[in-house]
Amino acid sequence: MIEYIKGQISSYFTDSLLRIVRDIVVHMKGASRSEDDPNSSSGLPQIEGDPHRGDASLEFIKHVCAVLALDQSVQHDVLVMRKNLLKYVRVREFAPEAEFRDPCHSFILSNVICSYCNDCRDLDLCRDSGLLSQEWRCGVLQCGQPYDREVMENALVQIARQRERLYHLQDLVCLRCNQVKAAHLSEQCACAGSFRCKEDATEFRSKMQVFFNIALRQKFQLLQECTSWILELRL
Amino acid sequence: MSASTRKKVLRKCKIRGRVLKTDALDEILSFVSRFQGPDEDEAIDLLLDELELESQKSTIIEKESAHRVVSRLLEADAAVEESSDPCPAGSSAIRVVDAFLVPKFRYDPIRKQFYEHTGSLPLHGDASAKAALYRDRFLLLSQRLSRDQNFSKPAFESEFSHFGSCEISPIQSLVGQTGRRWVMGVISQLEDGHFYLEDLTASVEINLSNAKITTGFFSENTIVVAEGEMLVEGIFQVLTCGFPPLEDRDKSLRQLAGHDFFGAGTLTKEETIRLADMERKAVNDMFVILSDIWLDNEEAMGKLETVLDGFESVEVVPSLFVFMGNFSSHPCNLAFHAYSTLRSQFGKLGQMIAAHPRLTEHSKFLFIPGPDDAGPSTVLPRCALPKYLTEELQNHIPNAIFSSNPCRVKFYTQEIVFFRQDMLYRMRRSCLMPPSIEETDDPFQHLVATITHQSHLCPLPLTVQPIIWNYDHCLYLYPTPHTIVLGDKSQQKAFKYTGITCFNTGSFSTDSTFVAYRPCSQEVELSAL
Repeated sequence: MIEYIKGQISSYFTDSLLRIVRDIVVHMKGASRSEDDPNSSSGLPQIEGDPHRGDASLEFIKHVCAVLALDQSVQHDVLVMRKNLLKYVRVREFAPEAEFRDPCHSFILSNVICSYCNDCRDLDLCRDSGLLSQEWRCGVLQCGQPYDREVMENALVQIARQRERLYHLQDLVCLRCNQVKAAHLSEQCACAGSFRCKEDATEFRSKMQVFFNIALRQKFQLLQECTSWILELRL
Repeated sequence: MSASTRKKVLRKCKIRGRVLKTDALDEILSFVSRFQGPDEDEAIDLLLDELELESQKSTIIEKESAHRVVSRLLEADAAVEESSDPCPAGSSAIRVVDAFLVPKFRYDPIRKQFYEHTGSLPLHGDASAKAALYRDRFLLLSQRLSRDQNFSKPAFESEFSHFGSCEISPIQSLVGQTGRRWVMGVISQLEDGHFYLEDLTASVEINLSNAKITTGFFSENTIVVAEGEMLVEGIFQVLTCGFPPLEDRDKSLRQLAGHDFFGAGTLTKEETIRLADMERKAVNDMFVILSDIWLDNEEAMGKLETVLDGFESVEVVPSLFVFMGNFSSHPCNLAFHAYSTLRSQFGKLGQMIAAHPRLTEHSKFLFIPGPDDAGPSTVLPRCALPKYLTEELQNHIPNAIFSSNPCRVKFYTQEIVFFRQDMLYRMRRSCLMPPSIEETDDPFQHLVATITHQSHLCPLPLTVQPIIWNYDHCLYLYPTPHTIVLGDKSQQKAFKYTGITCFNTGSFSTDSTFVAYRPCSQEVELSAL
């Protein structure tokens, strides 16, 4: 069975994907020539926090290979196919832009306890399909009790507060020698390099944006106010 | 008339040692032409005085600065004419300045003047903002120190200047030197258990075991002036240690060349005199300040009702009520999630206040959040209470003001700073050695000495009390304000230190103490139920 799939991947899938990628490349070239706009060569919307968003063909290859590679038994063959496809679009195999990044944000709220059945679990508030609806219910099939909104909102508010406090307590690291800054008043490291934050402001804001989106979706007013102040959003 | 006026203006300028450019001269003449006869001389003098204050550093007067001064004087003139009412409504007398709106000024050590930072101030600064926080604090105090008589550099090299000369040497110059030297630096713990003095150039390890200290709490992150000797092992043995000396408020203001450090706008000399006069006449104005009002504690609410009833029946109601946090006996942490109950409790407070019609109509209400109140962060400065909690209260009392912590209030010309933080307890915990009992035994007096000498409301290490890197200037006390109100859970106290009135209101919910303050005479009435 596995031999059959492996064979299929190296023959059928590789051929059809190569054909599709070729079509995409030709199509994109035609589209970009007709528009004559160098900026929209990728034709894809930019996602915040992902600087390595390639063009349509590269994204297609990355996504398809990521899905196929989920099956452990054929992973090797999928990697070989991926290498060939990437060679076709002239992208190095281990380049940063060839790495697959899940565009969906993820935030895990740990130790959520159901008041009815005392079930304790971690919830991924962004990716769990059962939580995308308005009401959050206990995952245990026989229970289904809605979670206490106030408790959930408070948990999220406390995490947001803690993260904000931690941002201002973080260490500064030298750009050159990667040493943690010890002195307070100096602007340069002993190796004459300048400093950077361990957690950048943009990184921090993108994580806080997840909270803001959750607050909007679930209509948590206090969390929304707190996160919008942290993100400096002018309402 | 214009030729003689022209000559007059030029002559007056020459006497003051200034050079007027032709377009500036035209501006001045157009202003002066509005006045006739003896008023003309007065107008010219006033204008030139204002110009002197404006451009202190250069002797050449440009058209822009002349134009600015002219338009300011015209505005003040118009304002004086239209407001014939000598006592304006209480609303314009009290100006509340939110901490996030205070302008940021940085000291340039090369040009030796302050300049305003006009760019954006993000809440989450980059790495350079953190270093700038410490450097700006240090520069603020070092420029103040440079004007002190004892520490300034002697102008002429002479025999006498070597006696008792306390010239500050940069720490970098201590390498390989012997003998007694004076240095100024920030106390930091760069290695576990070892304390260092750090200044703009370098850092040196210090030994404080035999040091003689002055009044105040010496903790990590305070800026000190130390005298000592450099030992062979590379350790600076400190003999005496103290805070940078205080500067008179007027002297500081003169150096600032009209910059608005407080945030409530600059005033012309005329306006200042007028407002100071009104301040003296406002004998009936009173501020009532309460701290730690637990809305979920029935007893505390009952006591508050008693206080409000008492002030309702007074002949002249207080002009400002300041309610400082914490507003709940449960701090905002993972265990407390009853925010809707808190919201309704705020609403009940609003109803209670609205039940006193005279207070609702004539007094203002200022709400300052406490360190454990619900809100986006525990980092200073703290923003106002969230609207979710205060909506119902706002419905009952439309002119309630929700401000940040710390908060600045300007009453005519008097500058008052409110800060709700348990500073006394935290400073006592963080100080490196017990405070000196030579001058005073009272820990509150030590605290006041510390914060005024440091020109900073919270000189604690950043790990103990984090501060938003770009907004450290909101906590500055420079130039020293007239009054500092600290909300602290320790005992109620008042203390006048070199002209600054400083008092602690004490906790209302636990000790039933509050303060009634009369700004016209800076009189503090410590009250209790």
